Amino acid sequence: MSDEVPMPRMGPAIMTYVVTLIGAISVWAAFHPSGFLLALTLAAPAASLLWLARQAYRRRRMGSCTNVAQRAYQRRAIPLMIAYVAALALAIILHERLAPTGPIAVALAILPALPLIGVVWALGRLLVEEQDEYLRSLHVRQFMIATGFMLVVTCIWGFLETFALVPHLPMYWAFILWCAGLGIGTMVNELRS
Amino acid sequence: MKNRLKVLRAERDWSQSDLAAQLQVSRQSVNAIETGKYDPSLPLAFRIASLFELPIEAIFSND
Repeated sequence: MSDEVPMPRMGPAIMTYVVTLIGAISVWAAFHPSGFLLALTLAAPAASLLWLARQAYRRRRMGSCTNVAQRAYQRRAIPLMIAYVAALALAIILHERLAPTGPIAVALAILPALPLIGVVWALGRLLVEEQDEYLRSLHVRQFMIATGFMLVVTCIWGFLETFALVPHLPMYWAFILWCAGLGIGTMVNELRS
Repeated sequence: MKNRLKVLRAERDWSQSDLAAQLQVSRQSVNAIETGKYDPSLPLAFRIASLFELPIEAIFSND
């Protein structure tokens, strides 16, 4: 289509964010860095999040994402993802420095989950508000791939864990895996369209 | 399903974006329908037929 402008690819940006996020969490879990080293650990996912935001912005500017529902999703999801990185950093730092107990410790632990719950809501709104049936079908396929990927990996990991073959992982890994699945879903959509 | 969307669009000298704007769908949708990667719903097929002032079977064929 010579009269059409190609779209920026969101897939690599999403995958980079997911990989750097998993990497940062792994580094934190293994070494428990603090201070400057903690900031350095969080720098990679933060930078890739900015890159992802830039891809989304370019996509809008090129006019290839003129869809109202997708604009609304980006308007909701990008601040929520930035809030998540900030909340995670805040929770880790306050937990290390103040060592809170009781309800304050619970509230602090739940803090990073709140923006992620917001992202789930934003994804749901995207499906509800998407008026373009083809784009909605792409979103649904992407979500189904993500769900399937998350279920397969958690199922296999769960049984490996039951038989003491792998270490225990926190439950929030299900969400991280689902997000990685979204990246796979984006790739599949890009390959098939 | 096969369709004659690309030919009909070319006859009118419309770009994919022009057609997408008239159908109130994304350009990706027009591209996916034209290349046979996506079969439109019945309401969208009726909108396409109405725009080109043709019956649905003159645009889409089941082979």
